[in-house]
Amino acid sequence: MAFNSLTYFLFLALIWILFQWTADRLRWLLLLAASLSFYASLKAPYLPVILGLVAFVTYTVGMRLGRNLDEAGRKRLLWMGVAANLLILVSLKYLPVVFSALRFSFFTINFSLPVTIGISYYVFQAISYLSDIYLEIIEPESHFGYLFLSLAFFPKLLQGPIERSGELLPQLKQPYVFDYGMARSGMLLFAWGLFKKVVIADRLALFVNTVYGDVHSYNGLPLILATYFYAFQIYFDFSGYTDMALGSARLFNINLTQNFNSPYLATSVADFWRRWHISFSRWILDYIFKPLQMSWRDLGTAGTAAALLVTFLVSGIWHGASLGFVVWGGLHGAYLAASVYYKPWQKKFHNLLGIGPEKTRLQKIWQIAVTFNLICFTWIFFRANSMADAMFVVRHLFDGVGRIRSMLFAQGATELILALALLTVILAVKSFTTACKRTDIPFCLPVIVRWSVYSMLALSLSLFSVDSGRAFIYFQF
Amino acid sequence: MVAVERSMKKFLFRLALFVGLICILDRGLAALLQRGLDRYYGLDKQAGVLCIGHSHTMLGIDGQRLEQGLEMPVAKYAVNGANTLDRLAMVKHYIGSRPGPVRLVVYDVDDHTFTGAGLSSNSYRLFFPYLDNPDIARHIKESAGSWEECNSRRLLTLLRFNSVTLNLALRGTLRRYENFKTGQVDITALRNDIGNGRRAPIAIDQEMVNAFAETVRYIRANNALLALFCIPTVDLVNNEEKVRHERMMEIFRNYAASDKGITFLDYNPTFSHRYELFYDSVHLNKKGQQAVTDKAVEDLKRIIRSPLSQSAINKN
Repeated sequence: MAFNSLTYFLFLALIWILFQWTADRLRWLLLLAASLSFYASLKAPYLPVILGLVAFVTYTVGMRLGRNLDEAGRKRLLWMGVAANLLILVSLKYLPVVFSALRFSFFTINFSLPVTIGISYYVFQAISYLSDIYLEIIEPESHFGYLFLSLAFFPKLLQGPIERSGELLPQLKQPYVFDYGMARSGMLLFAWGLFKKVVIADRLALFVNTVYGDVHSYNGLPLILATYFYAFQIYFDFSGYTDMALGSARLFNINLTQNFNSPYLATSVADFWRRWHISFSRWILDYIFKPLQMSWRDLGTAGTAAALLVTFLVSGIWHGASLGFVVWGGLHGAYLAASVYYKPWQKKFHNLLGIGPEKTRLQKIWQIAVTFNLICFTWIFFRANSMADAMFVVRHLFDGVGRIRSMLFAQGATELILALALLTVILAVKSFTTACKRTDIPFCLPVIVRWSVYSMLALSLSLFSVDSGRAFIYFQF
Repeated sequence: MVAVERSMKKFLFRLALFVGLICILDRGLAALLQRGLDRYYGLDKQAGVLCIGHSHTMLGIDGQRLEQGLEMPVAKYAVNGANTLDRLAMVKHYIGSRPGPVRLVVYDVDDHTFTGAGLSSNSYRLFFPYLDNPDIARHIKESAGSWEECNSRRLLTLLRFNSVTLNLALRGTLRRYENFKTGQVDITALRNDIGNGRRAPIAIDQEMVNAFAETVRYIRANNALLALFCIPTVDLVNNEEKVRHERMMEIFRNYAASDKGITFLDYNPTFSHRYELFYDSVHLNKKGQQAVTDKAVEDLKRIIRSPLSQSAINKN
């Protein structure tokens, strides 16, 4: 059941109605049942059992961690919990690939792709829950149902945001009071996310897939354009999903973490990671980078650089067992590691040129452009169907104009005009809301304007959505 | 608590009002688009000649030029990527929903008329605007992947349109029926594509053969004459699988030989070597469309004026 499906709309409406009628003490049960049936609907009804197993292990270890006062014992317990969760993740996500490579066909048949949908997000939250108890940031949750729900809450189950239990659990336990503002903003956010996905991202995918589906037929400009389009496709796809997740959760008075903050306006790669997939960046920073940096602190700058490189290599591997993802992660690690060494030189260089610490507008634009292109370069490896395709793209990026007409008009002129027009609309809306520095701007408009905006959004969703049946890109992770 | 209840009631009332407003706007806008699309396909009139096909017909036949030449209304019901199953539904849709008879059906045929996979597996989506027609609804139901595909479009009628049908609806509304393709096929690139084996092979799928036979039967049972019209494609393409190409043409010739009401018009010998008439290897440009339509006017006139056509009129 994808967020952009009629089934989900009906499901969400039904759960919302039932939620209004249910007593506070039973609401967790309703949401948990809804979350498990949501997951079971992914053509593999046994999936909730896996969620249950992870939740049970996490709950048991969490409770013991809370009771154990001996530091060595606590550490041992934490590692046991982490290892057990990782074991489940690895067996579901990576072993099928390994067995497939070794031609153990039994496993490839039984562990096909849907099994792993959302599992890594789920396991990551379980690990962060245990770590937070170990670090005494939170108390262990004594109610198994609430813990299970905090891990499996359906809006964030498949693609995050990766929530910290400390932030989500108190919200789930709060008595529910209908909030007009939350319900209204939730519905608008959901519709806006849907627009980003089915109108923008899926439309850009038409152009991207034309080129990346057959890279050897293209060279030069079409490859560059397809890569830029992909950068926007993945952003609108993923941030669209996040908006829909946040919107769904708001209907139940739950505020989830915002996952994106204009990432392509980042002025450095480090800044990009503060704006892109924020909950995941925070997770890898807290649970991979910081421990590594601490262990290698004696190495100084080299230790920090190595920790960054390893962290992002792990992030690449997390995305999937393919060389393209590893190179993507490696490149990000390399950019960040290089920046550790580059920063002092940059300061000297700026001093030499008489550039002060305050960035000029031109300097900012230059940094945004450079960062955007560095990020786009990494997307080549992320998107290409194989490493050979990625290398072909890299080698032929600057081979002239190529078959630009055949790329742009592959779906007809109307599709191109629509893509450009709608992209302009969404960027204008983004610029407007950024300039106003308010997220609630639609609700401050006069009622006629507001309702016109709502109606246009709803009609655009019907008329301009791309009928592709395409799943969200981050479903596979 | 009272305040909360009031705020909930306010929310539900406004939500219902908004849903009502969207339903009205949705139906109204969809009706406008539908009218444009009907006009583009010629579904808004009782045509004497019905052209059925896919992009070959769309770019290869100038409906208005044909109408002027034949001096009778022509409907050009051509849908990009429409396979043989789609066309069976299209023929039933047009003939079944007109009060008067169609005298001649011009059905475009080519090497891939019986190729099941490859032409377009989701071309049925282009028929969503006609979901209310029982023949089209049955066809979509048989092809659609999930229950959502039809039901979401029953709820929201604007969802029935996509960029292709939206474009055609706007063209119909503005009465812009012309072929805008003025470019010319790149023969060097085509030779490379053929050399690299990038083109889909000609195949015969029994389901398509059966659908074609049923279409022929349906047309003839409705006392309409049938012209199997092979719109030219570049000779390099035709020669790529020469034996299969000839076999396909032989099938259509046999159909024509078996029934006096069926004529086979193969325009390949006349046009396929004239590359300046093609936009790409299988589609005609504006100049090609005019040349082919002018010749079609002569040939179709002969069919319409034949004694067989006159007897069909009498039967109707």
